[in-house]
Amino acid sequence: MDPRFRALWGRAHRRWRLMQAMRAFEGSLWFGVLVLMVWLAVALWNDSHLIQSPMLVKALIGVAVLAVFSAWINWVDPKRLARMLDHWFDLKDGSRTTLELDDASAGNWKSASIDQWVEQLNRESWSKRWPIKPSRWTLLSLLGLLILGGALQARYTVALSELGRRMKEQAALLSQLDSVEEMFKQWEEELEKNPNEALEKALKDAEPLREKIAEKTMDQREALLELSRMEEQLAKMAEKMKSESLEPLLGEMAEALEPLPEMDPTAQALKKKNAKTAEEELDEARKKYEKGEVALPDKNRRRSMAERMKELAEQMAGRGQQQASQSMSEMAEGLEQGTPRQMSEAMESLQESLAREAMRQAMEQSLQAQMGQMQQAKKRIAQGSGEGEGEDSTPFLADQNADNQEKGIGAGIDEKPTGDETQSDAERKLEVQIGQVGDEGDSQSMTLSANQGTQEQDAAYRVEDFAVYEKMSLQAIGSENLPATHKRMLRQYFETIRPQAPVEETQP
Amino acid sequence: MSPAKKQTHAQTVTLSSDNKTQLKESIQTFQELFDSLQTEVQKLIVGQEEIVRNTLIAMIAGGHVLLEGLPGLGKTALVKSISDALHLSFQRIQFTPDLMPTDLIGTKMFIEDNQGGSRFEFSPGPIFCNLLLGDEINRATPKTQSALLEAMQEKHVTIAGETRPLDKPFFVLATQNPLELEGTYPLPEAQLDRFFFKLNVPYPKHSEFEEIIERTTGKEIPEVNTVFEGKQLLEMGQFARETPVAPSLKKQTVELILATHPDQPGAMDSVKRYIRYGASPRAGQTLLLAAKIRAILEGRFHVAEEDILFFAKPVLRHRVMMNFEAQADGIQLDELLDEICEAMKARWDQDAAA
Repeated sequence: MDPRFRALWGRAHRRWRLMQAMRAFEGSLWFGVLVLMVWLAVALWNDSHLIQSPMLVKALIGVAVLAVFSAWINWVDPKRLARMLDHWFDLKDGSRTTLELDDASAGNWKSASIDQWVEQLNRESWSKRWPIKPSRWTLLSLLGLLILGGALQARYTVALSELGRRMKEQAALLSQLDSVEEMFKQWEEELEKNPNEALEKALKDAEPLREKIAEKTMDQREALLELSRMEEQLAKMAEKMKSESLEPLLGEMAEALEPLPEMDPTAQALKKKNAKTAEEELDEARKKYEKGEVALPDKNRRRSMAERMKELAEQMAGRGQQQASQSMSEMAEGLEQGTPRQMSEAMESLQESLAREAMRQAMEQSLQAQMGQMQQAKKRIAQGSGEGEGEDSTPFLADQNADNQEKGIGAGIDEKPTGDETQSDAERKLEVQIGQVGDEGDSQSMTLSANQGTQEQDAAYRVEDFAVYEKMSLQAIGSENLPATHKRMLRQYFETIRPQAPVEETQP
Repeated sequence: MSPAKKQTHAQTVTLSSDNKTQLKESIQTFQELFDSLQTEVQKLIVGQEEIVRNTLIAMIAGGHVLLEGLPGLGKTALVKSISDALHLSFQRIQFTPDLMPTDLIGTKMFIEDNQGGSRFEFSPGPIFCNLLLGDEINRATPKTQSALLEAMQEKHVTIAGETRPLDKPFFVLATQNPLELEGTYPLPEAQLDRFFFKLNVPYPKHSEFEEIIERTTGKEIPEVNTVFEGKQLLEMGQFARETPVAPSLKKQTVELILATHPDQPGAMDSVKRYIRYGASPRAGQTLLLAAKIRAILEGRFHVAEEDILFFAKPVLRHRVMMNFEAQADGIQLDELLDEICEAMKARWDQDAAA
């Protein structure tokens, strides 16, 4: 290749690359303007999107650098370059001809042609004939990019950061609500296996909440309120069941029955408030009374024992336990009259009451377990959206990551503002035998299982702890040098976990 | 009968490309010769620069020219002045329907000598000249028209089985009138294809018209002097053929010719609709040859794309046959050729940018 041609060819190469790079730069500028406009439109229309300001600016700079770099290293097609050279300098296809012709076929002609246009190219001003400068529109786009980018940077940096955080919170919330739905599904499975009136009612109450979870339209506060409402309902149900139970009288029952022959195992079970075992032991004793295999004490002692049992019967009647009261009265009469058979009949009726009590105890335990789960869910939702970085996204049904690694909002705040959790046995099972030995038909049993996890203190305790921790947080907000958004977050966090219902109960 | 040639002292200049210096000088000489020839011809012909220029280019390439235009536009004067400027023997034939081939090429005549003997002697026709002007060529019958075929292509004629070469150089410059088509015989495609260019002679502009009147009605009518001899024209033609053409430009030439074919894949809709036959391969040869001469005249050492496109119309307008639908729709062939050229240029630009 002719050295003069080679020199100019190299110059043309560089100029072509420069032109490509300029075009890429122009393209990336327009791309940047477009992205910023879309971004602005989204920000004005709806404050939810994923891009944060610093990321966007970096991404735009990255795109521009990449575009320019790729244009610069791009392979140069010699034919295109020759055509371009001919075009810009009006060489009448001289460059193309030079490139395509070999020296052997047209040596002198080619050389003369090169002379001709090399002279022209050296004479011409390259920057004038082949201008590589940004167009007016490019400068306009650059100006627009700077103004728009600067304005957005100044106006929306904080807001967008906040929005990004909210998005993360929303994602975490949805994840937690999915876990809540999982909890309800577990309840349904439990209900299928073991019919439970309380659980059925709880599930029915949960239907509106489940619909909202399915629609994914809930925010953090609404979710917490709904879960609190559910928790309150469960608590009321548990309270009601407790008020209708025999449990407060089981100790006195033990004392009343203990002096009777063959009643010691039953009394021991009653002392332990284990209604199911008591019912089983009572069944064993009843069989002996029925067969007359027991020796009753003398008349005076029987009378005093009967008196004690009648007092107990009255107490039972006072608590609404009519059947148990009647059974106890009949037992007292049978004892007074010294007829074990009559006593055995009364025992049978008392057995039924104890069986119901056993079922109630199981249901109460189940309710406590559900409430525990509910509290866990609330805690997870409140913490999950308030902790910022380092939050644990594991569903609450799984083992909770106790390692508190949060570094953002919420750092330094006790993660147990409602006090230590009340520990209870996880995966506890309670089998309840329904019916009596000797009854016709298949015997039935019901197994109530507590879910995994731990229970927490009652909501009433949380109210006191909440007030303490809220006060501490407000003091911290006032004294510490925290960003305004963080302070707002802290207030919002305590607002969302405020236990409202128990507060009302404590202010009659 | 060949007219007596004017005496000339012009020397034949040798054009050479043996080395770069000679090549550059030859290019310059070529331009000077051409300019001087054109200037001399334009002494008599007012305006019509493009017609004169293209006619001379065709002659340098060794081709024949078909001039189409109204009567009185200076066609005959053009040919006559060229013959004077080149010191060529000139013959003019007015084609008429009763013109016979022998009237054109000559015949053997029975001659009785003084000794009482007799013999057949060839009496050459007017075709035995350097420059033949066939006036209103389309008025002769196809039989007579076809008598020109061999002469135009092979540069010789065959009479009674005997082939006789024509003088060198030999050019046919034919004219035809686009009006008064009654009693005419359109030239067959084979003969049209043998014309290098078909040039449409336009009506002179107002200023040119005044100049024509001035020059031709004065006391002294301009006289055309010999610039150089016909041999120089052959030398120039030979030299021009050496002009290099880039392979991609040859490819573009072929593409342009094929673009006039309606049956080619990718042919334009207008071509498919209005063209019956496309141009022959001879059109490609003509196009490239003319482009080479133009490149030299432009002072370049290579052919450019614009050279090829420049001659598209004079080369193609008599080689492309339009169909009845085109005539019915009033389509002008030149406009269609412009459209083809623009489309091809756009395609080539696109290819270059791809």
